[in-house]
Amino acid sequence: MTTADPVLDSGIERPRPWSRHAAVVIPPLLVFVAAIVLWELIIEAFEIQRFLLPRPSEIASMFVEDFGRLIRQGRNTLSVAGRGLLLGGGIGIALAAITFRTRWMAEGIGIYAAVLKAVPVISLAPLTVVWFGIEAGSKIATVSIATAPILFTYTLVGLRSADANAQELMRSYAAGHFRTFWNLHVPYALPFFFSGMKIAVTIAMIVAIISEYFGGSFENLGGYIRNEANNVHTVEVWTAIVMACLLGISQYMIVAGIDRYVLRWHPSKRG
Amino acid sequence: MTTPESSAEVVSLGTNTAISFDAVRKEFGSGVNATLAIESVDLEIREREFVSLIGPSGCGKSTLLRLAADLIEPSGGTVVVNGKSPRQARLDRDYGFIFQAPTLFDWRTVWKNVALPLEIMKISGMSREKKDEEIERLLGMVGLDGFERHHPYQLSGGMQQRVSLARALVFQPSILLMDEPFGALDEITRDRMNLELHRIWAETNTTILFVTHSIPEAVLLSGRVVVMTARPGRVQEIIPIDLPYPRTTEVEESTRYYELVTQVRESLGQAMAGGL
Repeated sequence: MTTADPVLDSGIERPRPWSRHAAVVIPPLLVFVAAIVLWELIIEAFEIQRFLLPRPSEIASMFVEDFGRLIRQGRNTLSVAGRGLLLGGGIGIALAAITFRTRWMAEGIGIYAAVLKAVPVISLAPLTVVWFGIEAGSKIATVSIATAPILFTYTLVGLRSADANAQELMRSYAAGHFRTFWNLHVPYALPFFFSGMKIAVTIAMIVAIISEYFGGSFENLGGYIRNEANNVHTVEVWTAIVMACLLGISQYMIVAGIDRYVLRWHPSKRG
Repeated sequence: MTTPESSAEVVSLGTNTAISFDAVRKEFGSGVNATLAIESVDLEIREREFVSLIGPSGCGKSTLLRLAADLIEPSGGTVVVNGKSPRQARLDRDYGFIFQAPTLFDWRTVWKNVALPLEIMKISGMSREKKDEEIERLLGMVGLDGFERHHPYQLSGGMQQRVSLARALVFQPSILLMDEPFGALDEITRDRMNLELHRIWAETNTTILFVTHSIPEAVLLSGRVVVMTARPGRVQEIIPIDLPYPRTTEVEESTRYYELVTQVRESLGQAMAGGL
């Protein structure tokens, strides 16, 4: 037996050096600090009124003070966004899985997915209220309508990206449709699915807040913003915005983390 | 390099026909856009035989292979594989197909890539231990012990193609259909892979139909070399290769080897001239 080739050293993943982590984290942090300082200075210099633009320090202390309530409201918003994404994403993924082999079906749906993506959410919110009532139901529906086309499009492209030779290989094994779908198309679709999810989680959060803003309970971020804005409680509005940002970012990071773990075999994850 | 125990055994072919093409014709597209890829191809490959298909690009050698594999269907004539229709042979998992690209699944380890056909086929009467043993044996045979847990991207091109070879052998198909399997490899790796493939062929009871661009490769490996004409592809000439077994580096340096290479080259020259 001849000896094996040496393993190409590209292989075994080495931990990233700290300097590279730092390079990713430090510049945005510096920008953040600079922006806050500038913000404070501008308010100082131009004597801007509190109800127009509060100081970051004020927002921060109010945020800490109201943290319990903000978390409670954030959780309600998150729950609406999550259930809407689950429903919408589920529908989008299911439609992609059913239609990806049949070109005319996928394209027939694809056009409507494109149309839905172009529809402003604001125009949907009042309609869903008429259909599903003022509480969570209508908000979940709006989030679903906004996220389904995103996941449909991404999943469809992913399922179709399966290597042609690999498909023939499965055929040569006389593998059934389900086998081929599970063993070949799903792994090919995963990177696209995660790209879609990264967009969809943030969209879901935004749409949830907008639809809450249009009515219903005050016990969520959108309702709280509406209420406090009506009373010109600008600082409170800002604390809700900060909470929404934090929730959005953490969702994105959770998805990105799962993505990186699940797809550690993928070329794009092998820096 | 281990040598086969008996070189006489190597050349004894089976009595049955493994693959036959009878007046086979294949047209791609339809109407005015139709192109005739191959026409009136008659060819018989016996069990245990190693046959190479060689010809100018676009001569339809891959088309022949894909017809035998039931990846495409003939426009005319009949293809018979192990006495059955290609479709039935495919459903019976009679052949293993090896592409020019290794076509490994990036998300599976080397071990799991080789195990894939067994997972799909659910071969009855093969216990888990038996399967594991077989995978281990094959990985040893292609020189990849110790790489079981690696992912494809951690391997060189030659190693990836060896995984693909092990994967094709794991369910013990009686026929291997190989579509320029080493075409993308550098010459040194290619030479070594050729000798390994030849050894594997000698050690197993496999019939091999091998598509290649390389004249020396075809001569070194085969019992017969089928030279095809330019499009539409026809069989120009079938050249028997009477080199001794086992085919080793010494065989590659013999005068007879050079004569045969020349003979194939001249035949190929005529085939190309005919097509112009």
